Formats: sequence, structure tokens, C-alpha cells
Amino acid sequence: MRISRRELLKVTAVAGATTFIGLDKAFGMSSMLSQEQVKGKAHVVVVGGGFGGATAAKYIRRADKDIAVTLIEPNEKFITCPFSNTVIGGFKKIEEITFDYSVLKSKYSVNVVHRSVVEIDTTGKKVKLNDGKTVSYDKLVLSPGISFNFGAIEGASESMVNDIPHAWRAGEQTLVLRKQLEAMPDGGVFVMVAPPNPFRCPPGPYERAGLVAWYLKNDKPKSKIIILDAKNEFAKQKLFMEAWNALYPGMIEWVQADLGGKVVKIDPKTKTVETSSGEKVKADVLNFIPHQRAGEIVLKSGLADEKGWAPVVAKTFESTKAKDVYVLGDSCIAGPLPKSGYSANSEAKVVANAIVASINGQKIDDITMVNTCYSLVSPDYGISVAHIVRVSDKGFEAVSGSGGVSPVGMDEKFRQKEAVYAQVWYDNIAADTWGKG
Amino acid sequence: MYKLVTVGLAAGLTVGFFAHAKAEVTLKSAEVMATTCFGCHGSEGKSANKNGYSIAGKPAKVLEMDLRAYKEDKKKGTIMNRIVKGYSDEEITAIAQYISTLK
Repeated sequence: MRISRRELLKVTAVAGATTFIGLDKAFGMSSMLSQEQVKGKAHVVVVGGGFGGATAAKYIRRADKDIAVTLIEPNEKFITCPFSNTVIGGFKKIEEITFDYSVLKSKYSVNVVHRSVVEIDTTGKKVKLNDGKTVSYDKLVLSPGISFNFGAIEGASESMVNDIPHAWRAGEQTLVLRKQLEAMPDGGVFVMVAPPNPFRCPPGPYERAGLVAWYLKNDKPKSKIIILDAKNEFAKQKLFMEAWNALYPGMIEWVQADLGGKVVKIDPKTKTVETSSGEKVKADVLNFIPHQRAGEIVLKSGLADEKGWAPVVAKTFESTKAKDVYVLGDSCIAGPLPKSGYSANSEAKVVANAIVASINGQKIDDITMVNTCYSLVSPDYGISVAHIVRVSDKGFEAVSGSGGVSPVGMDEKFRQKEAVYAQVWYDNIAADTWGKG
Repeated sequence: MYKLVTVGLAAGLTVGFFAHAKAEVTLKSAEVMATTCFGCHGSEGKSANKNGYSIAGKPAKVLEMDLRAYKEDKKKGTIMNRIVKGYSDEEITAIAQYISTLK
């Protein structure tokens, strides 16, 4: 059976008459809602206002206006990690990658609370905020991104980030790193310490290296980039290397873990790192990207496994450790889906659907999900990767024969096209997540 | 658009797309899958960037033909060929159908 267009319209009309008993009035009130104050059929609390959390909040409201949604995010503005390397490379301003929650509030009536969650009571189904208030939930969505494990490397600590920015959460550190590159003399050495898997944005360190090279080639051509890697291979490797050789010959040196790339110690004062083979490398600008794990609140609430990431049920992203708690985005283990903004945005739609279906007593269907990521190697040179993943009762399964990276050996025109599409990707996913901020 | 799905299911109607009576793709899963296209093609299928391709409201037949052409490599894109190969013919039909209803 196929539904005709006319039939679709007919059903829409009926629906229009019966489901406009919106909750919008309840949202006109103060920003702190307890469950009692929320008059809808259910209250969903979303923690984290990035690609995962903001999208989940929006799509739950898009699906069912009788479900109240509170989004808890400490920052009033969100600066995206995607495209933050363009700010570090110096061809975009940080304002161009900054968004706010005005559209979520006005168009989708999401109750946005700028606080952080300090505790979760999964039995009593409530979260405690940093101002001492508690918020009750029927369903809880956690999309807090990543946290850093500085303790994995001797000498590293959170207190060094103003001098040695990781810039792996976009914001102030993105600008600090940019300023350091601007202040670096021609002939200086930019050293990046790349983290082991899994981590946020697998191609991110290598995109950054290329865009820093673009800046240095134009402004400080005698400079050098050294990537000391905790891995022996990396995402889109052939494509990055092909591009580096073409655009920045001799400028970027990548050292894999087994050939001396593994950093074991750092001296923040002298910006010197020591590798497992005992070699010391001194940097003019040091970008140390720490080992990563799930967001603090996920770890603290006992929702992560022994490796520090949250296991979830594929079809719904519900935690395997707590009922009615859904973990998505970088914090969760999503099979072949990488920790990317696009994955988080796609996952949020699956979660929103699962939560709405669960509240309404409906069946949850199998879904085919997609992740699409672009990396820039220069402002006019883009490469991409896609993952298509089926989520069912069998778990996460990459669909064989699909996805993968851009072909190697393509001409300039092809790369240019993908650079244009990278910007299209960015504008559209940002609009889909936060609306036009 | 979503409302039709909510009501359809609440009323206990079986709304599904059966292409070859093989894999049923429900209207609801078609919608969720279609919304995952928005990351590149724009919120509600309308591109925020003029260089992007808005898909909202294109005739289902056209969308389906395009998607199948990418899947079979009869049409060459940059990334679409790699993506569409991950979807069954039934899913393509259902996704195209949903996208065609976007305004």
C-alpha cells in the first residue's frame, strides 16, 4: 500500500484539529519548572545544548507539543567545534561559529535554563542544578559532550590550558591558540599532540594541522608542524596526506605512535614533550589534545563503562545502566558512528522519536542513520566521510558497501566542490540545530 | 507534518510503504530518516546556504529517481553515491515520499 498525497493531506487536516492543545502557556512562565508546574503529559529534561542536546530538544517539541522540554546548558552562547579550525587558521571569525538559544525558545517553546547539572537521581527521577534547585523529569537526555583525562600523561594538568590550549572545546581556547600562532616567529615549530581513540572528531587534529599549515605557508613559510600521535593511523589519512603533499610539501611531519609519536610526559613550563622512546621535542606553540572520555555528569552518575564511555541500546540510545535516561553524542558508544556533530544531530532525532513513542505508548521502528563529515585542508580544499548505520534490536550495524571517504586522486575541482559543500554542511546543520542564531 | 504520524499511529492505522512486500518502512521511520538529511540539505529540507540543494517539496518521483541514480552510480555526485548505497529501495521510496510532503 502506498499513501497518496491526497490521503496524506487528509490525515494532516484531522491531526491539525486534535493535537493543538499546546503547552506553550506553561512555557511563558519562569525558567525554573518543577514537574508539578509542567502541565503537559510529560516533562523531558535535556542536559547539554550542543549538536545533540539542542537537536533533541527541538525535535521532541517538533513531534509532540504536549511534551514539555527543559534544556539545561551552562552557556548562553554555543561555539561549535566544527569549523573552529577555520578560526585557528585565521580565515573565519569566532562570531561566525557562535549560536544562541533564541529560536529554540521562541519557535519551539523549549524552556532553556542556563545552569549546569551537578547530580542526577535516577531513582527519584530528578536532576540537581548548581544553584541548588532540582528539576524532575519523566525522561532525561544527556548530551554533555566530552571530558578530559589529563592524568593520562605525566606533567599534564587542567591548569596549563591558558598556556597550552587544547582548543578541543571551542571558545576562549580557540582564540588563545590563534593568538599564539600569530605571535609565533617565522621558522617556529607548532607541535600537536594527538589523542588515542576514541575521541571527539576523529579527523579534527589533521584538519587543524592543514589549516594551521595554510596560515603558516602564507605568513610564516619557514615554520614547521609536528604531529606526535598516540595512534598508528588516523581518519581520512590517505586523503590528508595526499593534500598535505600537494599544498604544503615538507611542512607537516606526522609521527605515528610506534615510530616515536607516543607522548608520555609534558613539561608545560618549557613547552617540551617527551615520547616513549625518550626523545624530547620543544614547541614554540604547543597544542596538547588530552585523552578523552564521556562528559563529567555521565561519569559521575555511573552511566559509563570501565573505559569511560556510556553504553546505550542502539534503537533508542537509552542507557543500559539507568531506565528513562538517554545518552547521545560524544559521550555514548554508538557502534560505527564517530563522535561528531553530525552523528549527535542524527542520534538526537532517533532519541526524540524514541522518547515521544515511549511517552505515547507507540512502537519504535528500526532506523537507518547517517553521519556526514567534511574536513578542510585549505579554504578551497575539502574532503568528506559518510557512515550509514542501521539501528535495530541487533544493535548498531554499518551498512556494507556504503559510506566511506572521498576518493583519492581527484582533481582540484572536486576538492573545491567539497570545500563549498563543507560550508553548506555547516550552515545547514547549525540551522537545523539552533535555528538561525 | 509530524502530526499525521502521531494521529495515524494513535488511531491504530497501519501506515506503511510496501515496495516489494519485503521490508516494511513505516511512515514514522521514513520521517526520522528523512530528517537526518537536514544536516546537509537544510532544516525542513530547505538549504540555508545558496550553494546547497533544497529538497523540500520536490516531487517524490523525482527524488526517488535521483536517489536511485546515485545508488546505481548512474549519476555522479561527491558524497551522495556513498550515502544512498546504505539505504534499501524501500527506504528510498519512503524517504522520497516524506520529503515531497515538506513545504
